[in-house]
Order: sequence, then structure tokens, then C-alpha cells
Amino acid sequence: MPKADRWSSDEEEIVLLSLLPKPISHLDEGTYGVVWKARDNATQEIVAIKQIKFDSDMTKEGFPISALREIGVLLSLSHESIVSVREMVVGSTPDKVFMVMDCFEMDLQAAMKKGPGASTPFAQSEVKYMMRQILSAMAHVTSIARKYEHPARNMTQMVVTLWYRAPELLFSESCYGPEIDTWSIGCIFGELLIKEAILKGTGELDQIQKIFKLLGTPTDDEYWEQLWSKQGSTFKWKNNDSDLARTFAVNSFSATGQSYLSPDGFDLLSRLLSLNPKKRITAEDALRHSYFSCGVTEQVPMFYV
Amino acid sequence: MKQGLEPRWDVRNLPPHFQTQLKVHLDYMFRQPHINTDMRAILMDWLVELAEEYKLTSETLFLSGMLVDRSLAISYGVEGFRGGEMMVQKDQLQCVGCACTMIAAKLLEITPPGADEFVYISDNSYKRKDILEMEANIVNSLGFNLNFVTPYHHVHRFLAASQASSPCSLSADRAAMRWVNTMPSMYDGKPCHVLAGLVHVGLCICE
Repeated sequence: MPKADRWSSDEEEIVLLSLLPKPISHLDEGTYGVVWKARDNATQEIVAIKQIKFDSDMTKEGFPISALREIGVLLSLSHESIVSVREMVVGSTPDKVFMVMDCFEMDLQAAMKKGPGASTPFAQSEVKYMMRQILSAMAHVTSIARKYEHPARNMTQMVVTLWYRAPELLFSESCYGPEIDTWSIGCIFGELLIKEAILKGTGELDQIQKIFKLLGTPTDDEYWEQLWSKQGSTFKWKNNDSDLARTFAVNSFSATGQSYLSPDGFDLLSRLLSLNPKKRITAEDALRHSYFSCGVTEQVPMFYV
Repeated sequence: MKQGLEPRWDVRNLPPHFQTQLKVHLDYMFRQPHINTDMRAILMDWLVELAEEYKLTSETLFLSGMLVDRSLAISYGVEGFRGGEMMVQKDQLQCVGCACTMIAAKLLEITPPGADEFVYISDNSYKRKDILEMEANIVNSLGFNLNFVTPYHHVHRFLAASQASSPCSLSADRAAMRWVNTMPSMYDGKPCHVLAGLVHVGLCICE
């Protein structure tokens, strides 16, 4: 276990050596802790260091569950498109725990909003490149998670950021699997095309309405009829037809600031955003979709090089 | 392959480095002057009771057993924040068991028992602070590598293949846990062979 002083001259605090000026060094504040940018004194590499947030948990219940699980999962994953945890570092007291990770200048959201070429839509080839990265990473996670996970463990509903939350979760489906993640990928696909989140609900109810408005209300759908009758739902949802084809028009050039979308691309999008989780395409199958094998070849996005 | 066996449990599908993790070498006891294999066996036996008491899954139980061995094998404190070599004292062994079960439960259970439950079940032998310190120690000394394939993956596979009834499977896998961990010689030979034998014996007794 390396000591923190490999990155720091001062054992007490993780004020990192060769810190870049503060506004730059303080990258972001995530859900679990503060992220710093630092240079590894041994290899001169730039890394990101995330300090795990300990709240009052540390004195009451010990190491926070969420951090423990996140670290465990990240350490067991190894994929070119997944950020790798290089090592774990402890400070002078047990509540100072840091994850040393690969450093990236920006996340996808920043790339869309601030990166070079932010004002123009992504090229079709760039979208394809990013979608393949995301899908192959997800396929890897799914294959690993299958070895650890237990279906009965999925009990909480408060998962996934609202805008990317699958419709069945909004209806309190308690038994879910990797389908909820492919829904989120579908949302990201749409977002890459129009450079804006596609389902920006203000609350759970509004989120459901936005989903049904975009994709149509599921009528005559076995899965949804079962789910609603199981819950004895009394809500009547307004019947909408799918708006997807109009929102993501195929072959339309960027008069509306939207990326070009091939018919194959639209097909993949609608399969990812399938309201019925049983019919939703899996990450593995999505990678075999003709969207990736036909049409323009992939290209590394501009902000990446 | 019989029905009822989910591919995710098939050990043969795991990457090779996961498979080698299964084997525990008990020679680490030589580096722990204050404890011996008998004490370890008693601790493992107690962990089974702890799991019964709090209705922990067999997965959690096997993982906590695994974590006990892993953390005893590393004389922690060598490079840790406490400084200096630290051996596990006889009266700390149960605390190691508590902390390992706590970690395993946090990783695998939906509602893991709280720290106070461990204080209670160890008959107030340790304060909450002791257990939490031990937890931090163990997590750090293992470098946060906490996801292990445990013998349970094998046991589950054999039980599924045997198509035994579920109460029978449960007692058989608890029995396997006791045997695996109370008889160090069980670790000679290939883990999967030993476990296949144990599951067979377990099922014979149950039926």
C-alpha cells in the first residue's frame, strides 16, 4: 500500500506536490468526494485523485457502503473505455482515503458544451465512435456484474439520475437488470445527436409524461399491462403517438443544429429507447447492429485529439 | 449440465486470475505467532452462527471467511498508517471476524447489519470504535481488493447440478462452509474437487 507522500510532501493533508494552480487543480466535486488533478512524482504522469467523502458515517458505521462498492467494482473492471483506478492511497488517518485514477480533461457533458467545435453538432462518424465506446464499456460491465450480482438484491428505486432513468423504474419496478442501463445509453445517444438532454423532466411524474410524449404511450403492450395491473394503477395516461421519428429525423442535415442520422442509426436509437425492457436491445447486440457495420466509418471526436 | 444452473455461476467462465484466487495457503499462520489454525477454525465456526443469526446469505458468509484469511495472511500495519509490524493478538481475532463479516455484508447484503450489531453479537468484547478501526485496517491492507471468487461459487454450481431441494441446499452449503474452514487439510488438492466431495457428503447427510 503506497503512502500518500508519494504524491505529497506533507503527510497531514493531501495538498499535492506539483499542484497546478488551484482553480485548475480542483477539477470537480462528485457525489462521493472532491477530485484533484495531480502529478505522480514517481512517473511524472498526470493523474486524478479523488478523496472519498466520509460524512458522519465514518464514526458511526465505518466505511461508507457506496464508496466500498464503487471501489470494488472499479478495481475489478479493466477496459479501455472505462476509467481505471490505478491504486488506492491512504493518508495519515483512516478517514483519508484517495482513489488515484486516470486523468481526463473533461467529461462528455463538458465536451458537448465547452470543447472545441462545441457550437457545431457532432459529425456522424464521431457519434458512432462515442457510441461504440459507451456500448462496449457497458457490455464489459454487464459481463463482470453478472458474476457478482444477485437478482434479488435489486431493491432500491432511487437509482440513476432522473433524466436517464428508465420508465419501468419510474413505475417502481423492483426487479430490473442491465436493461435500465441500455435505456440510459439510448438517452445519451439522443443527447449526442442534438447536444441537449432529450428527456429533461422536472420530477418523476413530469419525466414519465416526457417519456410518453416522445415515445408514445405504451398501449397493447404486454409488459406494461402486467406492471400496471400488478400495481392496481388508477392513473390514466393520455394516449400519445411516438414523436421519436419527428424529433430525430432521419437524413436531415443540420439546419436544426442536429447531427446527421442514418436510418440504421434511428433504428438503433429506437431499440435502445424501447419502452418494453424485455424488448430493449442489449449492449452486446447493439454492438452487432448494422449501424456500426454499415455507413460512414468511425472517427475520433475532435475534442479528443 | 443440468437445469437450474445459471451461467453466471459457472466458475469455468471466470477469467483465470479469479480462479487462482480460490486457494488459500495456511502457512501464513507461521507469521502470526499469537494465533493458530485451531483458533481460526473456532472463529470460522462462529462466523457461520453469526450468519444464521442475521440471516446473511451464504455468499456473504463465504466472502467473510475469505476476507479473514486474506487479512490474516497480510501482516497489516507493515506499511499502513499505524506504523510498525502489527500481529493479531488472540483476543483480537474475533474482532477481525466481525470486521470481515461487516465488510462482506456491506458489499453483498441489501440491509447489512449495523456496527452496533457486531458489538452485541460479540458480547461487548469490543467497542464500536475497535471494530471500525479494524475495518479500516483490513480494507487498507487488502488495498481495497475486496471482490473475491469464493468457494461458494463452486458449491453453488455443484448444488445446482445436484438439483437438491432448497432447504437441503442451504444446510449443505453451510456444512460445506464449516468443513472447508475448520479443516485446513481441505485446502490441499484442487479446491473444486474438495468442494465437490463436501457437497456430496453434505447432501447425503441431509437426505
